[in-house]
Amino acid sequence: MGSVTGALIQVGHWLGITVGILAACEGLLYLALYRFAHRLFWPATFVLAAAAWGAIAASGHPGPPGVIAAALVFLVAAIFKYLVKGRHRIPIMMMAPALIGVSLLIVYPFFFEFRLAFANLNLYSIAKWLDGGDLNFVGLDNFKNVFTTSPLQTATFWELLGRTFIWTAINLVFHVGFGLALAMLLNRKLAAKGIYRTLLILPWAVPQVVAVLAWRGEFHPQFGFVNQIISLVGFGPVNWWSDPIAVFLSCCIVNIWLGIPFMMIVFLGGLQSIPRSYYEAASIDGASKLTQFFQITLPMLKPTVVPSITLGTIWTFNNINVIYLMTGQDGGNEHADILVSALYKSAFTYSRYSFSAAFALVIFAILIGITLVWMKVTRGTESATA
Amino acid sequence: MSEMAESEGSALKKSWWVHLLLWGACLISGFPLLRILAVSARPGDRLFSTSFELWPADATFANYVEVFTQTGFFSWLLNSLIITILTAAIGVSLAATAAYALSRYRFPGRSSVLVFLMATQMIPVVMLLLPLYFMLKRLNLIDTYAGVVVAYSVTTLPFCVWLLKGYFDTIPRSLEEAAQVDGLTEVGSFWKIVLPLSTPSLAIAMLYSITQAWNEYIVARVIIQTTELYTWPLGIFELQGDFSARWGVFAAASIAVTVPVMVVFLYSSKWLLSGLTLGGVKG
Amino acid sequence: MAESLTITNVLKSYGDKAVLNNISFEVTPGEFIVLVGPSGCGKSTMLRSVAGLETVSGGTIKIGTRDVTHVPPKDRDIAMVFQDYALYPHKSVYENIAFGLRIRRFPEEKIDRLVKDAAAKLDLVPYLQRKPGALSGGQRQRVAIGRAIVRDPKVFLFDEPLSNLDAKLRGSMRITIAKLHRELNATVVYVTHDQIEAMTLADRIIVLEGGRIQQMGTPLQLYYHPSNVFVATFIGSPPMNLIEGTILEQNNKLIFRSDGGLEFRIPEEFQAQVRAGEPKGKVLWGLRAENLRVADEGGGAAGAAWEAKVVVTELLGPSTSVLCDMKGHEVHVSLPAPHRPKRGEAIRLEFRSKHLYLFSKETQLALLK
Repeated sequence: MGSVTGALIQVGHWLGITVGILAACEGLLYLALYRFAHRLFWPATFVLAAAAWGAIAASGHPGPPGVIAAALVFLVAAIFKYLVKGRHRIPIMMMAPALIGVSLLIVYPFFFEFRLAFANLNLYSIAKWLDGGDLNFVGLDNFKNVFTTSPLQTATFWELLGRTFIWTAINLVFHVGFGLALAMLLNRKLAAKGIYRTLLILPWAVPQVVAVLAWRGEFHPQFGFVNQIISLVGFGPVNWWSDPIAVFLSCCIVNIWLGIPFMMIVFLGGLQSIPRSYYEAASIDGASKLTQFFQITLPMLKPTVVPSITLGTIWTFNNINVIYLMTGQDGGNEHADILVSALYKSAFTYSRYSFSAAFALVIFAILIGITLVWMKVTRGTESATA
Repeated sequence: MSEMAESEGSALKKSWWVHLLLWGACLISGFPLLRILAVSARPGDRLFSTSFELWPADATFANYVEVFTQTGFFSWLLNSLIITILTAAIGVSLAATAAYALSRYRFPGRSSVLVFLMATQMIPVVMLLLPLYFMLKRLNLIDTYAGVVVAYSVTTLPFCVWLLKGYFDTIPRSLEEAAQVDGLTEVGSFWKIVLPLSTPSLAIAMLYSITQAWNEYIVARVIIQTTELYTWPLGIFELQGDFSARWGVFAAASIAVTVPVMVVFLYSSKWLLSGLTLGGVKG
Repeated sequence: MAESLTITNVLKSYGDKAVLNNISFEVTPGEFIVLVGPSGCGKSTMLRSVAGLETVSGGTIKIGTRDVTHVPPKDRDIAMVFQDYALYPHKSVYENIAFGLRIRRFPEEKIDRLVKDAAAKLDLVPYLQRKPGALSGGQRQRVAIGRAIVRDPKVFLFDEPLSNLDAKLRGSMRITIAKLHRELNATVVYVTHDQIEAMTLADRIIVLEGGRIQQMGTPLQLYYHPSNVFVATFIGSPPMNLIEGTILEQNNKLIFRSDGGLEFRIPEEFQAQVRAGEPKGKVLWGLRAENLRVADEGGGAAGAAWEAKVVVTELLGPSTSVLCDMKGHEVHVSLPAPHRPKRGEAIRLEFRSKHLYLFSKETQLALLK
């Protein structure tokens, strides 16, 4: 009972702070948008700037930070007075809470990541920094290390990169293939269709942690179900927990199992949205089932397939749950690691903070590259079919 | 007439293989869960049975009793619950107004905000987790509910904005115009007309945030370090860690959390899907 | 209470594109004004500016004596009926109608009385507890009107209110609106692209095209004295035939001769006017479908008559709509009951009307007042 009240007090405390910050921001915005022409606008700005400077100085950061903050206050005030001039009041005030949230949660960390990547923060230097020490500057060392040393213990960056692409490709092929096949099986008059559908989306409904850990149990080299089945067929037991290829394979199997329902449901929706009349027209024209699949089903599915493949690629590329939960236990191995799971381990298992920041930025650059290529490809096919 | 009966008969004959395939697929998709269920009911001395039996003959609730009495199961659930509710509430309430502004107003920077929101869905969480971890550490938010909620909002907030914007786009603008003619301000028509109308999509956004926060493991592991604050995924992972000892307890705890989640998910899957298709939602 | 509405020099532009170009008109209290024009002519923008849903770039809008140009919609005391009805889907019919009153904090018993009065006027009493989703299109439309009349606003605005209804309902709703207007003696601005609605409902019609007022006047003025080609072809159904030709002098009298060779003498009463208009170059002769009739056997006494070949006929019951070829000109003719020519048949048509429409091709303006 005591823990509940303690929890509630903690929650209330933070909620209060959040609401207070947001209310203060909205109040300032209100003044900047509605009272920008008031004669006390500049004096008020001055007071605010002084307060910001004072607060930062009082918190133990004399000099530049306070001056920068005060200058920022003046800059923002000038923008509102001379550029915004009270226009777009409502959208600005409505956007503000989320924008403040997003910039604190995403924009600031993103830039901080850059700063980290050029320092050498690690398990040994962290304590000093947390006590108020400054971040040093080591140039591009971390970026160089990403490509020359292992983010983990032995696996190199290139190995991880290659495995990431293989991982993404394998998963996507099976997700789309099985998803489409099941969707087509379900997209017909069928007894007990609802039951099939429910049973088939179970992997999606089960919490991933439970599902992956359960699978891990099934891959147990000695007691796991998978090895029992294999031995029935006459193969020797495979050490799924340590054999390099088997580990990666088991991760793929689990992730494929997890991802099929999403694709199935998306494709089922896509299939159901194809008007029957197309098939009727095609069969009157004498098209075979196979022709109908290639000439009607696939082209008509494209609007659903393209975005879901895009999403699927990103999700698979960024998927860390399965690999970490399967292999991340103490004494775990790195034969299944892809870029993001290696990033997680290097940051939080091996505590190589600055190295990981550089590593993260490299991964980000790769993601942007893939996106650009992908956009070009989809644009290209769109204009080709248009 | 007879031709029709014949073709229907042959269709039935033809579809047996469809049922066979589907049954096979269902077996694979449901199998791990069935196994966990079976393990959870096994008595402690037979945890490592290699038999293929689907249900142990000597089934027992001992594992469940142990989960409920010997582990921090309920405190994990409570922690998960608090974090989930806060994440969903903050995500949806901050997102709603922003989504409305993006849906209804044209202002400089609008399209960049939209592109930015899309882009955030692409960034791996792990990438931001590192700087966020330091930010939280400096703010003394490591090992607090607030810290976890902040980290979860990184993914849920942009998604909720995007989802709600898609829904608001489907609400005809004339509704707000009618409300303004009826005597409401612009903001008033949002509060009194659009928001009440959007309860289905608000529910979807909530549901999305809830499933995200409830099932999350990777981020929680970094931000929560003391056992008292463990969410259930952390707790369960711990149980499973020493495989030899508590496999049955892990299974029982898994079943205990999975069944309610599954029920909610299966019940709401239609909504969730319509939410994922962004804007395909109708009130 | 009905009030007047005064629009003075209203301008509205999106970037470089002017949507409303110096529009001025006045609506007297209790008058029913219809703004009509093709889509994109600016009529809806004009109406929404009156409502305050759009801000104007220049000019003033006055309701009564009050300048409301920069007043938000909620303070203008107007009511508006939208094309898609814009009923609040989550509120019952009763609450939809009562909404405006609730916002204005009317006492509960007064709200109840007013809502029930309005519902009775529109035959909505049995549906008061239903949600809009459970109503037919016509019923929804009546709820939308009920929501407008319950507040007794200064001005009623209708934005294409009947365009989502089927033809039959549209007819009966026209009558309902006309009746309501008479009962309430309300000031109404009504936007439509349908000239039949404009003709049947309006006290005065304003024809808009390209953001400019083309002509303003009573329905009959517009019908019989269109001031330019646009108004002439827009008002009336089927649209007026336009036959290109020239005005020539023959024996001291002006005659019209079409490019295909249709020829007639300008009637005496118009001779002076046409001459005064100094028609140089090409002239368009406007010919309404009902201004031609089958010539009496043996040749008519008065008007000119020509041979025509029937191309397509459409039986309409009391009359037959005929598309025929008159010396290379395609002409729509409406023939009364006994005449039902067949396709390919040759008929002789006679022009007989006290109204003559001639337009300059260059300026598109009417030559005759």
